[in-house]
Amino acid sequence: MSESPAAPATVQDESLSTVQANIARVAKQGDTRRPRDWGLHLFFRVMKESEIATTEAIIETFTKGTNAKNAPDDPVLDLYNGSPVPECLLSELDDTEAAGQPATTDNPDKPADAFFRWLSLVSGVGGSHTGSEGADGSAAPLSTLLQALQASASQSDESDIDSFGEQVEMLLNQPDGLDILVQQILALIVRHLDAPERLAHIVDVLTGLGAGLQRRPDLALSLYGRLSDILLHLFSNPEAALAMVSRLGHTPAEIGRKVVAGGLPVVCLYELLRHAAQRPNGATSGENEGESDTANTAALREERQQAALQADSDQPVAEGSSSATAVDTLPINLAFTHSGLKALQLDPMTLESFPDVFKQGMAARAERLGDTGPSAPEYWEGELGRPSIHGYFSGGFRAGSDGHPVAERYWRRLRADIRSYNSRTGQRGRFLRKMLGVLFRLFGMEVLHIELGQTPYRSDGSGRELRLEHFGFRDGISQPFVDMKLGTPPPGGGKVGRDGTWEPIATGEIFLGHPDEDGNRHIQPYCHDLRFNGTYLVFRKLEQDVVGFRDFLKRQRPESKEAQDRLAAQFMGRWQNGTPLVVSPETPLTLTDDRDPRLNDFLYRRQDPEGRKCPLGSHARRSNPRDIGGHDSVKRHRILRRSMSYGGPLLDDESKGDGEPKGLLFVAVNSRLDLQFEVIQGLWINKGEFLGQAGLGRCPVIGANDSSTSDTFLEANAVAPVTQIPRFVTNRGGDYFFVPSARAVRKLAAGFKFPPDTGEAQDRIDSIGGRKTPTLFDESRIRAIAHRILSGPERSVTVGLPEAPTRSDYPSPRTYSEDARTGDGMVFVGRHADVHRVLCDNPGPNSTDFLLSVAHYRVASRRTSRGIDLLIGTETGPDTGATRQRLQDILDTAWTRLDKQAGTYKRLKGITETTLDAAIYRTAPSGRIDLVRDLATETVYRISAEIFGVPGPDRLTEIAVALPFSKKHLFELEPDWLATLNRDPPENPALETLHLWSVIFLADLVGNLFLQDELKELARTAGSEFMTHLDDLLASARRRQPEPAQTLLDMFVQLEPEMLRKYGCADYASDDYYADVTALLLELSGTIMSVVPTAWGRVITTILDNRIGLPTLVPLLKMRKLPKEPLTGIERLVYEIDRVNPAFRIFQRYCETDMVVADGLTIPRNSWVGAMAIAANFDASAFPDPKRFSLAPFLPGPKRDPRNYLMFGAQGGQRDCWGRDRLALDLMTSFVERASRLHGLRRPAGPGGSTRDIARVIIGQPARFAASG
Amino acid sequence: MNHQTGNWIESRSLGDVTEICVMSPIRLGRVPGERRTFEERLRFKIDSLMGRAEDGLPNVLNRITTIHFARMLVIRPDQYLSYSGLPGFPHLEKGAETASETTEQPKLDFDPYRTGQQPVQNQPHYRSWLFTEVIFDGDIKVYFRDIAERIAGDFDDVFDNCEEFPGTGDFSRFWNWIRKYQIHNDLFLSAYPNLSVPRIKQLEDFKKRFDAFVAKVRSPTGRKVEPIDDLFDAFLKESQQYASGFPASGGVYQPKQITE
Repeated sequence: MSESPAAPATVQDESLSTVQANIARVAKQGDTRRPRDWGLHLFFRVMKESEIATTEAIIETFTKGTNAKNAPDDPVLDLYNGSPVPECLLSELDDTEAAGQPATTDNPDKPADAFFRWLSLVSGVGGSHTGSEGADGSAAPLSTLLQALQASASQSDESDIDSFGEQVEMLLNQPDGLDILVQQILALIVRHLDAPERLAHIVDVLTGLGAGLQRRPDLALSLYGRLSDILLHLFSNPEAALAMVSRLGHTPAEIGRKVVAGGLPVVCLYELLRHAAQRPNGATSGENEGESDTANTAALREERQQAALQADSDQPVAEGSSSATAVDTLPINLAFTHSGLKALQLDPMTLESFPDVFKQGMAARAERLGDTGPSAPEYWEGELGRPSIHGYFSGGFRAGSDGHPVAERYWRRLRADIRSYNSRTGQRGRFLRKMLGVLFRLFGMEVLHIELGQTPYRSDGSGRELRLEHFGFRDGISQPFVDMKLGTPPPGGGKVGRDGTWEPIATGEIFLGHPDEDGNRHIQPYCHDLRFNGTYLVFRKLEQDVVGFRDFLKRQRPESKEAQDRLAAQFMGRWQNGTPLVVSPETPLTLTDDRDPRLNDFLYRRQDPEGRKCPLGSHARRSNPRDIGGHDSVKRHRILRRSMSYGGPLLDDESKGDGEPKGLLFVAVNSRLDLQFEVIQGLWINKGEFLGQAGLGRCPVIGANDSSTSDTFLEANAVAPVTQIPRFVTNRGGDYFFVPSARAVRKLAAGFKFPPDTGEAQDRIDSIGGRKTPTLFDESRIRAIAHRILSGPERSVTVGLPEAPTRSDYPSPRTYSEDARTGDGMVFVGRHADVHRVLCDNPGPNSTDFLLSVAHYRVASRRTSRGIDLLIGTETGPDTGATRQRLQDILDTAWTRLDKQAGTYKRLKGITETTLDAAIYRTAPSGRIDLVRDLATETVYRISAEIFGVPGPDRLTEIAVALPFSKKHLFELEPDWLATLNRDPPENPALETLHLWSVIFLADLVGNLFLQDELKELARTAGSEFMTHLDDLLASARRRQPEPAQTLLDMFVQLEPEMLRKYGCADYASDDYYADVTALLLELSGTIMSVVPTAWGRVITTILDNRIGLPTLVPLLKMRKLPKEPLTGIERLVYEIDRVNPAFRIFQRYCETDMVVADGLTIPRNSWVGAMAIAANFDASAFPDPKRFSLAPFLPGPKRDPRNYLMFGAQGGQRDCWGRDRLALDLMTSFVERASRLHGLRRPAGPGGSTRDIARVIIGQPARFAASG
Repeated sequence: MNHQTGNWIESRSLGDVTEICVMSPIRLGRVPGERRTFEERLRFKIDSLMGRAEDGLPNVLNRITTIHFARMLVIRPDQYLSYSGLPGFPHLEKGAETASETTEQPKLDFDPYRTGQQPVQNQPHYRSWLFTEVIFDGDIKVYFRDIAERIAGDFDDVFDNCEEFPGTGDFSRFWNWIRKYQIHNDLFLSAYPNLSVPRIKQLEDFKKRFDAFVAKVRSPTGRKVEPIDDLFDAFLKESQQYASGFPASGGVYQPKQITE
């Protein structure tokens, strides 16, 4: 912002003194007086303390116990970059415990102490937070080692780097190789600290060492561990850090130049060292946290501290005169997303009291911001827009001076490094992730995304350099200038006064806690200490299609470059050098300096009311309409911009691009995101009607245009518009951040939780808006019941049902009589032993008695299957015992026979492999996959078609067409409705239809806990279509009489004579056999098509939401060879995930006679039993330390007896799930393995990342990945 | 059932636009054959309509092409009994309620931990109410006649969850029911009282067609397309009237094909 007012020696207005420096005013680069011309944005996630502990435990296990010969190092080293295993998964029971119940003493989500260490470091709080060496008392040896290393550094030898690689190979084969190697590497690094190019070379050599280190994970880990110790020592000792930095050069500019040449790891390392080296001696103690004096020059400092510092630096300092000047003092900024503040465990009420727009985040607001089409959040880069981004801090330092700039090739390499880092692709990308993972982990952070901003400058011909953006325009001219008592703002900034003169806008428009333009103060969030002098920051990565922009201008104005520049100026409202069209509509002026009044001192309504000079729709006019609509309106919608370009130098006029995406890192702050930034972006930029103007279309430069005939722009005085304007600017990702004051950061560092001030909070507690209709299976009710059963003396909770009326005024076709059992109350049981007992219901080997009935399954399945019994609806006993035995016999005989004839399991394996391969092959180019649909549903469809012999029909059936409209039949639809679907017909209608039938079948059979009629009707319709289809398939097979049988269906046909010999009688003839067979096929196909995808959906969403790092975890699990284990590591993973987030949460049974389940628990006759797997899975008697996620014995953790898992029901009972061990488990482990090859797997940002379901059966989980390997 | 017609409320109108607001009692208890209450079933039906609208898919209400805006809301006893002074509900005076009172749920349809099934005698049963508010073109009776004829089944599915609802089948009884529960609308505003829904849609379509026409005949560089008169006549011919299908029978407005 080259036209910011010159900084005075001190800031007189004390009220803004604690704002983070570099927000209200841009910090200048020491003696150069120039604002920072490049900067880093590091987007981080705050790690959990437990996550660090778990990782360390795993690392220990693997360094001790692995067979060095076969173990790949990669996964183990990846552990440094976040834990692949969550310490504790979010369980449904957690909330209840938080709400007043005696909470467990441990706090599994506690943020890492190390993160607070960093906060203290950058904000200058407390001297007591020392590195880990303080704890283990190893500080002395480390500093001795450092001194020794520094002493040896003088014996520099150029050739040592080249021989380094060979030395490593050699050392690896020595018994004491590790210690020597660590010393060698460190010596090498220290020796070459003053020559970052060589340092970068060492990093490259280390990158290439993959092969060597892979064979010795223990070595690699020790190496990383040792390096970590040293770094921590440096970070916690300012003098040591300073001494280290001083070795790089004599002035900040020189040091910075070398550091940039060293590449991304060196830049990050230096940035952190800079934080450490700036830490003042005698920093404030934790007792008066929040207080500081102006002498505090921590990296994150207050506005007034910066002003004092700036005043000092105005005194000429001889270069290299003291070591203190060697560290660049440019301040850093730190900001948090709402999820970040949550991760820091601030007071829940205070968190809740933030404005909705901030809590929702930018991705949720995409529609109103015009972030649609290619700008939609689902296409955003990396994890931008995801709640995993907890915050960001900006870095950057002087690098090079006018005489000695950083060579462009180093910048290019740095940008390439950052792109590899963000995309996680290639050896370089993964290595950088690992390396920076080690570094930032020391401070409890995982850096998820990095952006590098660089301001391109171009000479204006008169010896001055203009700060430009990539379309070639001067940027950042108009700012709203908060009143900091700095004297008169330059004309054109601030707001328009009554007489057309300029005044600063009220401080409260930008910073919280001050009076705004109406004289009011903010009350959100409800804690003054957190709020005061904070502000909200908008970050958007706006990619500019420079070539497309220029091409469009050329197509519109082929006659001359001058005409093209003229049209571009019309679009922008200013000429390229900043001259406003209002001031000079015909030609750009030569402006003398930044305070030249012609640059910014103009008004629209007063000087150009009709837009005859500056078009009404131009970018500058609509994004800051100045006096349009009366001064009252615009002044409430101002933002303070702090943007910076990215993507390297400007493109030459004729360039077709240099392969680097270019654009603007848009950064702006304001005090009300929804009233300020969003009004500008959503209304002024992207709508044509505002402030009394109409017909303006969208902004021609940054609007959400898409080349339609309605995307028009009318130049000044033109009759015909420019039409079909494409989108020139695409949002690649962003979010809303809260920037606390420097003082609030210090309090945060000291562990302050910012409880709400009394008063405002009460209104939220009293809100009457959120009253929901309670249901029997309400999540909160189920949680409360589960908690009562697990914590109290009760073993069950009974809930009665309300009465049903017996008559109705409405002449309903429905009968008002109901099954006698429907209204019976429900007894919920939740202890593991009780749930297990209910699910097994196995009174004894010789007993045919049964106490609990599954009659509801029978009723539901008969609905679908024309009254025939399915296996699931039968039970031992007089009613359906014989049918059950017969169905089981037919199925088992056919299955075994088919396997013998056609090698079923081998074919299954083949089908699974090829389907999954194809899915990855198909999705890899785009990096977009539906993890449920592409992996699971495709695979089970082929199994149904090729193994069971049940493909779908070759069309969408009635229900498949009608269901999106909430209808069952075509006749209920209007023809014009179908036209609105606006999507291509499905590629595989057979799969679609079969899948839909199955989903409805499952939803009604086991998911219809409410017994809702709509679902029953749907199941009846779907079932009827399904059964007719099966009839056709069977009829065709009976005509063909396939020999040998390829499918289960063929085999059933083959077995007909044999089975009729066995079961044939007066009541059981061929038709009855085929009825049985149809029922079996319905059940098999219907369940595999629905259960496997939905159960896998649960597993994979749990994996995504808890950042379970499959690419790290799966190889780790495979490394452990435990031959005596009944389950493989991956099977353990699937079972354990199903435990904490079960696919089936409550199983129902009906109790027909009093049943004594255990001492003190008798279920009375005529009641329903709700067996709560979701409670039993957290019963400590079955799963010790139940809130911990455990893959023991594969990874350290509490023991889990596999027999206690309740996936798809209890194991070993008479209702054991037929398909679990035969099919489902194998399939799910295959899916896990395949998903583990997708690196950087994540949900897309925004609504496009949500799980899709029909009646709570999961059918889709869109995801993105960086690379498959 | 005897209705007193004398108390019926008149709908308000502005220009050609009319409002109706109906406040109907939701039935107590459980839907026979289900484990849902009538209120739960009602919310399910409304959610389903809402879901279509959010997905941008037409639903049955599109068939009534005179509707500008519609809203339905369920008001629960725990909302309207706040500050009533009844035990278990919030008090207006700060600090007057005790912790146990604020957490205690009113006696409603589901009694969470009731072990027996006997209803407590003489306990008043507070019910939820459904507010339905619609703003539409034209006359109110024409509007309800449309409903009874075009979306009878779906309409019944929703209001069957309310007391005394007789169905749309017998229009007179249906009409009486509506009027019995209609409430007075104190404020009713319309930003465009003289524009019907089809008219707005037509104007929107016209602007689109106009933009396309401009893009075809005028270039900002000054290049002109001849013969402009013929093209303009063609534009007028295509853009002024619609012979059919605007909207189509399901209520979808399909813009006319623009001749390239």
